[in-house]
Amino acid sequence: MDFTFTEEQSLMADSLRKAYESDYDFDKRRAFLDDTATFHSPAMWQTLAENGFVGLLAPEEAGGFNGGGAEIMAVTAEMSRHLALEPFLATSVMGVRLLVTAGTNAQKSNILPQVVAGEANLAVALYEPGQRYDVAPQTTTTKLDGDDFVLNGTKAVVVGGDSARWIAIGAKLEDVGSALFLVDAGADGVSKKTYRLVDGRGAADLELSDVRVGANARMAADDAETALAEIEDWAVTASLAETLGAMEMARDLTHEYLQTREQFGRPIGKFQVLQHNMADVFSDVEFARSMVFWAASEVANPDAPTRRHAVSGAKAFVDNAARNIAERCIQMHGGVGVTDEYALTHYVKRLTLGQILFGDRDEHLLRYTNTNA
Amino acid sequence: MELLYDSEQQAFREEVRAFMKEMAPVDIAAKAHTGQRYDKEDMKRWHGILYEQGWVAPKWSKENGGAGLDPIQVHILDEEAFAAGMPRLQAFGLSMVGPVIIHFGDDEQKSRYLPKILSGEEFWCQGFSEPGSGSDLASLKTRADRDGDKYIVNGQKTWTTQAHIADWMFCLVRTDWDVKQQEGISFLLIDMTSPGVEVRPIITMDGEHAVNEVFFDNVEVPAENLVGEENKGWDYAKFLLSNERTGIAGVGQSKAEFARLKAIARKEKRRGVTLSEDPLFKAKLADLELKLRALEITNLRMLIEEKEKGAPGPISSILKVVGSEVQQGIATLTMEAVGSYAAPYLPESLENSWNGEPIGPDYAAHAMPYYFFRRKASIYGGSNEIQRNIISKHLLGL
Repeated sequence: MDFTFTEEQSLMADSLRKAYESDYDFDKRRAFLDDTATFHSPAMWQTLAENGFVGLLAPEEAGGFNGGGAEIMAVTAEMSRHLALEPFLATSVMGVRLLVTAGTNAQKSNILPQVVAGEANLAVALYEPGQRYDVAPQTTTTKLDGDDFVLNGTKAVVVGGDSARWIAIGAKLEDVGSALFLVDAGADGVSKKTYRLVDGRGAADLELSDVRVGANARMAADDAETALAEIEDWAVTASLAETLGAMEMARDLTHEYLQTREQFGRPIGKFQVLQHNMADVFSDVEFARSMVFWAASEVANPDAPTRRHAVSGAKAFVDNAARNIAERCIQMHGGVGVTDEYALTHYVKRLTLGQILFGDRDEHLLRYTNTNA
Repeated sequence: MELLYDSEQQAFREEVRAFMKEMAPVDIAAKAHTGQRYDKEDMKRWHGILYEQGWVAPKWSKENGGAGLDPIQVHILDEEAFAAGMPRLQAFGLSMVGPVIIHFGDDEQKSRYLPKILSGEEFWCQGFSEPGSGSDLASLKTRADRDGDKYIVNGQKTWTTQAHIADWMFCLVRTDWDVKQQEGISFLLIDMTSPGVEVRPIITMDGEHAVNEVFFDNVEVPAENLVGEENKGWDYAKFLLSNERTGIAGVGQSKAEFARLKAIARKEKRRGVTLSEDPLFKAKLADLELKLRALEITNLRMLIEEKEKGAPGPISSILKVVGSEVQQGIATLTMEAVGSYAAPYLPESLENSWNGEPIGPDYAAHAMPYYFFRRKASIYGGSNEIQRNIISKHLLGL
């Protein structure tokens, strides 16, 4: 039993911290937030690729790091501390993992090296409008036409869909059930509505209208929903680690504020009601950290119900903690705690986003109870 | 990062489990199922069995007669004993005064007291709280005045668990009234059969007699019963409390109780469906189970820290708060699960001597008293408010 990161994992987090601290402070980040064309810093993304982070989960022969849950926890928590806007979650966690597990040999050898080099981004379309958090394709369909497949349908809130060169799309396929495709985002018939998420990162809604792809676009998954459910659990795990990083920052900002803000002639941290609130925030972060450890240690478990039980259990618990922490930290700050110019609110946005991305608390509580041994 | 127990730890768990299967008395284990109270004889018998095995003082070093287990092994032993339905051993001797005597006592005290704590021959109680000194423990007023080779003790202790069955009390007394409160306290060992000691029961709302008031009227205590130095008692008390903080999470006991709650939820029905399948109850169970899981993992993190650094830090205060919330949550849901048969008040049915017919299911009678019993969990051992003070002062520097 061991709850520490290896030296290598700690060094990765360290070098990330240095990269973000030098090129990406709160004010510089604001410029990236104001950029209406690219929703992140392409220069930082290149830096991440050059340092091997983009290929964190890719096998070594593809230039990757062959990482797993622990690496995701170390790296995404650190990026979240800097409110990173780069499409790491979409490309490096969801996309690369899907390519590794469900990509054909051709897809792996053609696309993975470009991705690892930071030259082509990935996204995985998990959901459809009106289907909440069901990853099984419902309204997106495909038909064989000669040797090609023709896809039609809509995909909702595709994280990283704004910058992805390739997007994984599940579709209903008659007589088979469903199939998964890796579609060129620039293909005829693909239209994207891109937007920022509440924390500033990019996403898109997709409209597929008679999109014709060759048989080589089909991924090597037996069905779409099993493969997508696995990717969703990896996304949840990474999102939980992001939440942990944001929690730590919200906690630290509030802790500092309690010691500097004075009212009634003394620092407000001298008031017991705020001390106890702060103690609860401190405690909530540590219990949440334990649950992120749990998710990270089980996300690669080949037994799907065991994997899901831990990941969904952790999500249901951490979402609760995230909401408590976010709301308490705002309250302890008073008015400044709701202003856009102050970093706290940006961490709160990330904490809040984490509660509704990739399944909300109720969804994961249900999944947890449905996989109960 | 690895959350699983290693093979050595798993082998130890198997060894403990096999021991429990063979040695845990069936009649004592049956009480865990119905929530009947363990009496002194049950505790003595189980204590004796663990003593024979050499596991009665798992944390003590071997040279002091303990098992010398590491914190993770102690936790495994604890989990398996509770899973087998065994009572918690008397903590006052083994976990509280024992380590204080080991660290601060003289050789005579060690040879006089430790063997009988280990054998279970002598039971202890803790004389800390007073009517005017609860959370503000350092304000205590029970006085000990030196008179030649003895102290004369006068005053009153309260909430004294097991005072009525204890042979000895470790007691905080004031020996200097002219200094800062914390610097005038001494740590005395008092024979409960001494003339002038009077124990009066306090019956708690669950109908149980576990706590007492203890009065001292010119009680003579030999000066050799002073542990360590005079007026250093507060340091020993702090050592004692910090020593106990990780155990206070109660993970092993809560896991066993949660398993029994789930078993009740599989029997009780709402609209023809068991509570374990009822969507509302299922959600409450799941939330509580996750809180217990978070407690378990956090406790393991602290135990590893303790194993590596020798002592748990003040961060273990967060375990006490959440540990007590989990204990209370289990008691609350158990009462809810039992439903209307939690209403009949039958305190006598929880005692050993009772052999009447149960009203309702056999697990029903203890549900309500146990809910009441658990209200204590967030009050004792430093109330949860005091724990939050410790966190904000010692960890957050506020």
